[in-house]
Amino acid sequence: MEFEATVRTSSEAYRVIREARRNGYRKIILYVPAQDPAGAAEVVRGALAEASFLTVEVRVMRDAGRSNNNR
Amino acid sequence: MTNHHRKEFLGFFTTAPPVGLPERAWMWLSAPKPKVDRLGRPIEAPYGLRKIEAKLQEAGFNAAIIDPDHLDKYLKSARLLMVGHHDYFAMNSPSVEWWAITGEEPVNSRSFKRLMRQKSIREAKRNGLKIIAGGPAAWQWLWRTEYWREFGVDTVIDGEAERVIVDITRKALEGEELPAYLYVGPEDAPSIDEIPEIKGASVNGFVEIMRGCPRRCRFCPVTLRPVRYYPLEKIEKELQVNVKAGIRSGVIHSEDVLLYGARGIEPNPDAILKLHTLVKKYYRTVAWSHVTLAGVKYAEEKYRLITNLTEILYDEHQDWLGVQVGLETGSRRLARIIMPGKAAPYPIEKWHEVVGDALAIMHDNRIVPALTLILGVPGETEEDLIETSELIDNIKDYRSLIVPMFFVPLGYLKDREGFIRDRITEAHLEVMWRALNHSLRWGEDIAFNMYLRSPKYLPVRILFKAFLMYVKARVRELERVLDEKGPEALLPSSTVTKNLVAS
Repeated sequence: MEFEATVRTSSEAYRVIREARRNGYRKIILYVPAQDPAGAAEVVRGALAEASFLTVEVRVMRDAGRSNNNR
Repeated sequence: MTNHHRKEFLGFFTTAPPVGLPERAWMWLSAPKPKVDRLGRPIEAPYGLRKIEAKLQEAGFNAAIIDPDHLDKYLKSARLLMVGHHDYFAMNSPSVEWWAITGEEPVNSRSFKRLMRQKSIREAKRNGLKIIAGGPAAWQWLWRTEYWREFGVDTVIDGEAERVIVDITRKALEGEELPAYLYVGPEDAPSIDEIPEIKGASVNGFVEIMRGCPRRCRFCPVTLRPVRYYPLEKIEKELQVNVKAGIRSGVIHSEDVLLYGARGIEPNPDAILKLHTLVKKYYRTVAWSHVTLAGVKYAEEKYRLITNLTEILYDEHQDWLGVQVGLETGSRRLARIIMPGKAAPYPIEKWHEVVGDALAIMHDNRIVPALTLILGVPGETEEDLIETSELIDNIKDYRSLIVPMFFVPLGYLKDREGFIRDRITEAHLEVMWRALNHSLRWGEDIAFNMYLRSPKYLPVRILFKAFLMYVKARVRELERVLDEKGPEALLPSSTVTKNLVAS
């Protein structure tokens, strides 16, 4: 089961990862509005320690107009 | 890329800056250039890279491992460059301690940055080359994003990649959007059938026999993943690949070799004996990557397994065996918190007894452990460190090396000097001092009577001897400082230490 969400801050990343764990997802895809892959990593890196039991994919969302709702 | 003169332990020297030697000599000692074929493909390459290469070749991609010195000729046409490293930015132990103590960047990190800054890679990047980074140090990119940007890395893959690498490669080659970062969780760990056999020889004849570990130590990510045993046929195919390349010595890899084929932590003597008989059929000399001390004690006392295994291994080619072993701590209180399963099937309260008994068995059987200690674990107290110092004293008569490593919280990685200034105490210094003296005492015996005794290692022996003389001279200097000013003089904030380090 995959869980997808857009996160703009570290605290959002924490929240989303915890929610995915609580709901038993095994993979999570995080869309991060950023200029480049390194910028996306900077947003989520602190929260990734919470995700060691999940597969986590981080994607750069270059389109700033994209919805911020969980996907 | 290197085979460390086919001496795995020499690889530890790449985690330090060149101490007392010019960098070229240091690199030659610890990381000599690899032999390559006419296409620049190394005869021996790191095992992890070999797995990825094999997976991609089996999926039909034109993929090959290329020695960094021979990359240029491929970069004009290559569309995807994958890089792997054990310690990209010297953020693992013991690199991080070396950097903090000496104030100089270790050679592993220096050489990687030199590679990525070469003109040919920058030009290829401008022409559309994609770069994917992975390997055991992949996590470091998350905390060194300035280099992620500078080197133009497109994707970082962290974890066992066999299940995901083919799809990512296809996306990269077809110009599809790549993930910035992919952490492969335990549920996506590849099954044994998804893990390919290597197609080219591995550095130091390295061959995996299993993945995962059931001991569940809190500081170790390997325990998150399922335990999977390679069948003997799979191991044999990889041994044959290495032998075909002329490699007749090697390391068998597991978090605990004695758990090969085990039911939980109960050893499977039949499986282990068959494994060693098989490996010895191909390799003249064999080393273990890791065992646990509890595993050694239990296997010998219940099954006489250590004696039986050394009877298989020892012959005219080999009369000793090297292995890395996690001693971790001498504190029973801390052990109960961070590694309650480490002493199993014995209670963790008997940790000192387990350590002593296991080391006695290893000493008697000429098994030489490099014992790693973890210092600076959150919640560690001075009493914990005193207990660790006592344990080091108790094991002084057992042939071994003791390598202290600091637990480094990620928040400190941006500021190594701050890390050292804030965290090293006199009690840490005491542990490190005893470990250093223990290792110097036994290191000479191990290096010159066992590890490097073959005449072909004469040049390495001479350099190593020079290095040991340098270290001993520094130790005498430090002893003088200790006598005159006490242990606080060695704390990093002290000008005495700064002067000593700088001189």
